Amino acid sequence: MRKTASTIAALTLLGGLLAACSNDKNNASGSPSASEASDPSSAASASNSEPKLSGKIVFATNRTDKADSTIRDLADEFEKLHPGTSVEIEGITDGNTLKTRAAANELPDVGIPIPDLPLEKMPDYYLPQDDLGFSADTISFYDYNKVDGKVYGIPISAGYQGIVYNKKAFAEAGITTAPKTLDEMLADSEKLKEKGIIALATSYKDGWPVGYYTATLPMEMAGDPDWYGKLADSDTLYNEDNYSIAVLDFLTQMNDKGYLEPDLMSANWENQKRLHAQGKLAMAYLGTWYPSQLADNGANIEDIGMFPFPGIKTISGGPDGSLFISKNTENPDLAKAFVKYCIENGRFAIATGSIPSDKNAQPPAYVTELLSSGLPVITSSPTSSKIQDIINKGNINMTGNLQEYIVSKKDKQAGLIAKWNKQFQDAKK
Amino acid sequence: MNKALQLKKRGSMKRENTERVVLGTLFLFVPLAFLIVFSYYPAVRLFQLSFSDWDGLSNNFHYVGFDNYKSVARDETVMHAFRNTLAYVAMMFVQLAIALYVAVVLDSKIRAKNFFRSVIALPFILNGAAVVYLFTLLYDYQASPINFLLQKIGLDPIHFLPNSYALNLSLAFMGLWKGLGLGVIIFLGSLQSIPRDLYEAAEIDGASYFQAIRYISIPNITRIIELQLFLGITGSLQAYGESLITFPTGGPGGIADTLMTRTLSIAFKYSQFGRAAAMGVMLMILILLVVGVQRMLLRRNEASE
Repeated sequence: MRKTASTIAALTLLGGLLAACSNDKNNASGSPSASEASDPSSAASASNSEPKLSGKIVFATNRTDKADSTIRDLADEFEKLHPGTSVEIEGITDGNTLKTRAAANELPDVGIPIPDLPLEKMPDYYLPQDDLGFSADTISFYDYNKVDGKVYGIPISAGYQGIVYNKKAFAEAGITTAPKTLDEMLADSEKLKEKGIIALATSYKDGWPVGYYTATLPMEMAGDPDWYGKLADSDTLYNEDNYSIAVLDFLTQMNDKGYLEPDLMSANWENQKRLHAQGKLAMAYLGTWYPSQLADNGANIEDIGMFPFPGIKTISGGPDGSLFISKNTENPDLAKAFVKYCIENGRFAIATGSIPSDKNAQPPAYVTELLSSGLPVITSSPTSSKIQDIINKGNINMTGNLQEYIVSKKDKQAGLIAKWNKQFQDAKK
Repeated sequence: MNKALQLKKRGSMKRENTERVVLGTLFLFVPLAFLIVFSYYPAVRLFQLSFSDWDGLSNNFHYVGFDNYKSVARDETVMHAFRNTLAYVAMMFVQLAIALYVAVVLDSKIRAKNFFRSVIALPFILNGAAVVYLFTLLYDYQASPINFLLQKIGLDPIHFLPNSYALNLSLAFMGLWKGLGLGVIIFLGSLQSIPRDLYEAAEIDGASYFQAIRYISIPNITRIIELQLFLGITGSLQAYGESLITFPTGGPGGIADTLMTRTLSIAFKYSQFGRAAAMGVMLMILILLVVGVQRMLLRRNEASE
């Protein structure tokens, strides 16, 4: 009796396993046949000449925080405007999964691009979008994804780098105008310190927020979009000419004078946002994406302003995400209409609390304030493989180096620079 | 016995055996398949990759002989990470000592035993990453509730994450807090399997409480202590979550890097999968060595007793 029962149990187990396998097979073979079946219908709707849109598209977004709320609302409105269409939203937490899907020709119809995709490879996976009626005059950074004269991805929002400050904290310390030079910044920091306010946030422990000081700030100071790539041709990684040492020394000074967080080793991102929103912390060198997070932490968005880092020649800016349309989409017209809908008037950007790329849409006040400085905006060039190879080969950790430098004693710092430059030179061999 | 009957019986025995073999194979099929696909195959590939220059993306790679092993052995950041990892090993010994102590206390006749048992076991079922986040809040110099209380009673706040080697002990303590419960449960289980009459006999012979523990409890659970040491050493040599979540860059000058976080960044940050595989193999050899030495020592002890 018992034996029969266990035999049945084992067979069920095996049966379940096999069933799972066969299900997978059905799915795998099912999707291409389904697409074949729907292909003629989409071809038919395209030949109808007038865009009576229909069908279904999948929209992949990395803004998983808003995927079920404001982005869903946006898609619902679009569906209402075009009855018979359906937009499915897929939140992508790990962009690298798109690489596998691209290899299987299963990219989502519309959405964020495959990470680290070189420009020249874009036509292999995506449709050109020049026929959407946008141009460099209406969209910021329109040419960013241009290959052979065709645009493959239209920026959905724009981003600029600068110092985000809390106006209340500045007012409390009696600061009326934003600092224009590094000396003014030090003087203002002293005023803030006297009021018990942390002048500049680093979120030192978490690392990535100080990462902006290793590549973005020197680039802004040099005014050269190729700043990072040109390191590959330089003899030293850290030197006076490329502003890298100037940045390290400035942060060291800020730390020595007590203008940064009181305990750097535990200074973290979550706490920074909270303190910054409350005005217990005044400044942070980050992007235009940051103020909306302060608002999420309870700050009044009117109290948040931005100004360029003192003494820089150019402001770093660029597209903050672009929308791409898969080459294999079954409903290219619908996909294009949806992209156009998202970008026009900055609908998607506003829904996700970012800066519209459509120049007709009104950007938030802090962006206007930052750009009112009149400094030219430059977009950093795509990372060249040459410098990346050197960084990889030498295991060079510029953020970790910065962390080590600014807490080290003066007499040790020169030795560190020499050590890192040697590491760099060894990697170049 | 009747010959026909005997034959019949043998036949049924044979059938029974076949059934058993078929059944066993069926049941074993799934776990074995998992073991081969997810353990042995990757381990074999690890050895293969450790002799290559694979960058994690390309379709092909070149064999570079022992170059990866040589470069890892010369890499001072790896040695630094190794020294940091020793802090986790040290903390593991502390954890075992505390676990044994708590288990002995819980094994005796005290009130609300079950309550204490559940409370101590609770952290173990928490998600590891969540525990680390919880501790980063506790360790935050400004926002820490511990420092808040300390200041309330007029003491100086503590730098829980100092810019020195002690930082690694702070990080390892997270693992101690989380892992203690499991250690206690395993010790407690083995303590309770010791026959009670041994203790009664000892009591009649006039043995004190501590003598009973020294001469009855401990000798009866050496096997379990050995197991815990094995699990603890392998676990602490592979510690990474605490460091990775608290200091994603490895901290200033790699002060918080462990062997595992160093391996991870060499593989995924610098795309040197070959070198990282070599580190993985070396870590594996290190663990085998430590476990081998430990077994030898404990065996010798057992033989002498």
